[in-house]
Amino acid sequence: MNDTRLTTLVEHTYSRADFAYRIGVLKEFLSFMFFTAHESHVTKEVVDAFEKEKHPVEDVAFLRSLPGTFFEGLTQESFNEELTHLSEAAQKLPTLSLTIPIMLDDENRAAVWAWVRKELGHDVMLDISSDTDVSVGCQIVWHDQLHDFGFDHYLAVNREKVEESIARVVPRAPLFGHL
Amino acid sequence: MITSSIATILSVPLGLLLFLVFIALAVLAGVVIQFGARLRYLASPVYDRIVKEAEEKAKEIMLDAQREARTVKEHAAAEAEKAFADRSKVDEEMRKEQSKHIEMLTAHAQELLNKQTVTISQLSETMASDFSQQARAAGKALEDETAEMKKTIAAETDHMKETFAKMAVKVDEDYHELVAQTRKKMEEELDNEVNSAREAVKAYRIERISLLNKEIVGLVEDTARLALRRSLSLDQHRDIIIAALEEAKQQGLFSKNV
Repeated sequence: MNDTRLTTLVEHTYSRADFAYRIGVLKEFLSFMFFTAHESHVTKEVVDAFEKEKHPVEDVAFLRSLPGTFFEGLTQESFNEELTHLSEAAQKLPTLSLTIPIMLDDENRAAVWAWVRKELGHDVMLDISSDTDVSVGCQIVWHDQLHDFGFDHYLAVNREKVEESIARVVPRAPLFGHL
Repeated sequence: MITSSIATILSVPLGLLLFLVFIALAVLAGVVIQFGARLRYLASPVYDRIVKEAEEKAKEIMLDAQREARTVKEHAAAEAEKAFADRSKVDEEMRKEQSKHIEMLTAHAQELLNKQTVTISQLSETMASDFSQQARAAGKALEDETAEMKKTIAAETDHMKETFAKMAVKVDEDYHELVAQTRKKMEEELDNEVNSAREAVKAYRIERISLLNKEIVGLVEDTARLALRRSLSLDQHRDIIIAALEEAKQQGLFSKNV
């Protein structure tokens, strides 16, 4: 397996889901190139021809972003096996699972991904899911351990302040009243 | 009339006549005895003495009569045997003898009866007199006894009144003391109950208020949870997520040893 291909793909893909999706795009493209276009090398024309097959713009943009060296050595007989190796290698990459209150848009997701790659490593993959109970912040699963940094966590840390704030707004009933 | 009676008597067989005399004497004795018994029952021991004397006299009379009757009977039997041998002559003689004897018996019985009548009348007068005296004495004794009993009863009544009065005072004192003790005990019990109720209410209020405060905090938390999720923008969520990741990193969560 060519580690450069893995590095290239990881560099442009931050989640396993995206990684798996892009492996599928590559498989489809290479199948088109070898069996439909009857080409043996990736060229601009092949990519244009693939684009004309009405594939999503993002997929074509991904293909165009890959360097020419990515496809070197891939043959009609070997590309399937190579893509399978890439998928298996991706499974072994370290993964940070985040559970956030609502799904972020692409821009905000990219910001979180950029922090992860910068602070944790360039090969760390990111899995993002949503759960409304988190409310704010996130829950982190790292090396199969769950760490809560959501609303309950902040509430536990600031419980006394929260209760004081509540007491200021809702005065407590006297204990001994008229007795 | 007496002559006719005697004639009648003489016509009756000798044995039967003797038997009748005997019966009469027995009745007389019985009457005397019964009279004596009645007197004894009704009167005092003095009467017993008099009656006893009368009884003894009656007994003597009866014994005399019995002896006489036996004598007469024996004689009559002998005469009957004699007469049985020579009937006609003897009958006549017997009859004469019988008449003679009957007359004798009659006279004797009459005499005896007269004697007893006199004795009895004497006894009756004596007994009546004694009875009157005894009755008067008994009446006086009864009056004295009644007066004495009245005095005693009056004294006892006064004593009982005094005793009851003392008892009433004691009962009244005891009653007031019981009322005071009962009141005191009731007040103590009520105080205890009131204090227990107050403590229970106080504990209940503390518990309920604590529960209520927790519920208020929980409610505010749930509201904040909902509000934060909806009110924050995507950029704010992103910033909070990155801040959480920073905090995790500072806690050493992403170190290689974890």
